[in-house]
Amino acid sequence: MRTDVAKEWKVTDLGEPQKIIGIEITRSPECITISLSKYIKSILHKEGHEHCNPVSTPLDPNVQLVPNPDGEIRNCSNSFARLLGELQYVANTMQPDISYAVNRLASYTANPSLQHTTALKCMLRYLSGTRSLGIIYKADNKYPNFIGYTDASYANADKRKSILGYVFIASSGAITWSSKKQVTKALSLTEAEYIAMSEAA
Amino acid sequence: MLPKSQRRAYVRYNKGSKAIKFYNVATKNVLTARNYHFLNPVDPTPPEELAINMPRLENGGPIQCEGGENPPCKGGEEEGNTWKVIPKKRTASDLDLDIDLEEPQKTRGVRPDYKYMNDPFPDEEEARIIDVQEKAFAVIHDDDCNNLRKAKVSPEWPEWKQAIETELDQLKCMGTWKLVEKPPGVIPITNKFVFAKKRDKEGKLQKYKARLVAKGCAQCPGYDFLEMHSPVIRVETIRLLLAVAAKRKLYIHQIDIKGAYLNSILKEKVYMKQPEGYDDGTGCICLLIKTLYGLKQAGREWNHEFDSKMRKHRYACLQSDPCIYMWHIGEDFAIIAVWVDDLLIFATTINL
Repeated sequence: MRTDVAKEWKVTDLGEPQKIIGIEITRSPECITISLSKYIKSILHKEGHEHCNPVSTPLDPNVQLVPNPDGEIRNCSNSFARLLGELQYVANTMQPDISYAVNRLASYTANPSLQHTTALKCMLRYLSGTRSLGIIYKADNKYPNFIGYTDASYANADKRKSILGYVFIASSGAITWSSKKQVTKALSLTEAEYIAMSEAA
Repeated sequence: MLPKSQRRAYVRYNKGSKAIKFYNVATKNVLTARNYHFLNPVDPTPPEELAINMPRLENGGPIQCEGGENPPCKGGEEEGNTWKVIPKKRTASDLDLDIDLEEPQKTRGVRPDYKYMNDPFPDEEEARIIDVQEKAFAVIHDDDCNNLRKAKVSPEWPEWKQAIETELDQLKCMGTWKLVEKPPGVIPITNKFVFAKKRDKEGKLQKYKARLVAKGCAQCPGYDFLEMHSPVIRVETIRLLLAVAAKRKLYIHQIDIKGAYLNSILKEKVYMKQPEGYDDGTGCICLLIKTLYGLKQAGREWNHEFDSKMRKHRYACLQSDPCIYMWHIGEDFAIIAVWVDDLLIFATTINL
């Protein structure tokens, strides 16, 4: 197989994979660990948050996010969107725990207020605490092959929409996950849960 | 309109692309931009006042002062690289005034007559301007130096020079281009060297690397390239494969293909200038045979090349993720995950 590839093109053999598209891979006999610590470190470095104090939650549950109260004052700087985009990559690749927070903040990208910027900085502080953590896929056979969970909240986003979330786990590590605002307005929690399940499926 | 934007005069739609050409009165340039918004202009003010207020323009060029109305510009038929604009009397309702927001008094109600102006910027000049803009926004790392001039004055020039020669040798060895006489009417795209220092995990310097890239931003859609999409692997797929690999104790191997893009053959005829700083002085230009880095279609052509070669070796490609190739005999199997030129190989035995 390797020779097949080597016959066609000039190749560099890198052996055991260390890093692909920014994901660091470490292998031990009983598990494979993936993490994104270097990428997160570079984000923190760029934002000057290298030595900040970590917090325990990515998004403060006591703060209710609202659209910018100052109305449509267009913010010309795209620094909010840029940083959010970088965090979105982290949320999609490695950290399901900030997926909800990123998704909530992303709905205010067009017109962010001070509240949203503060929340974003708070997320950076959370990441500085968790950046060395990653996903572990274990070889042990006692874990089920494939398992999925869904959940939904009821009418807690803007305009009474519900938020869904799902995660699929294989070999004890998360494979795919998402947190989204539902497209339709559910009239009951049960309906919201059904929408979440169909989205996950 | 955002406060950052400025009013410019519309000239014509750009050949092949979604951009428009516009005229900047302050600098007397015609530039290309994709980010634009047509305005309905404010009431045209009486022309008598205006003529007084625009001495600079009248001194600077053959610009006529039209009375009362603003002749709108209409793009002429595009033939080759020349263009002309036919002024036509119409009401001011459907054109945009060439007013710079900072100096609004200079040009209000007056349009330069484009008939008398030659295209001040052939395409290569524009490429230079775009390049300048790119540089202004680029994040300059300590390690990277994307300018030949800067590399020449840097203390590491011998190393960079070595790197450039290695790169040119590789290009020659791959047969990336052949030198041809410049056909009439062809505007070759320009190129530049990008430099990077490769470091290992501990941050120690491994090697100096230079790469010749074509400035694909000067390519015309529909002429120099048609399609530029190519698939990349989904990150979910990588995670799933790793999970399976952990459970079934597969062997994982990573392979990187050297100069991947230089392997695929370019279908379109694209002319490029000789490498920056390494011109042999004969006035010949390069007709590209292989896809050079920086060309718009390079990624797509490489994926085609890879796909056809893998199919030749009887690897089957998944329908749900076109970047996964599979192969199996009995119990043994191998899976290749492709990220442009990085391959992850998952196999049941080490020999595969």
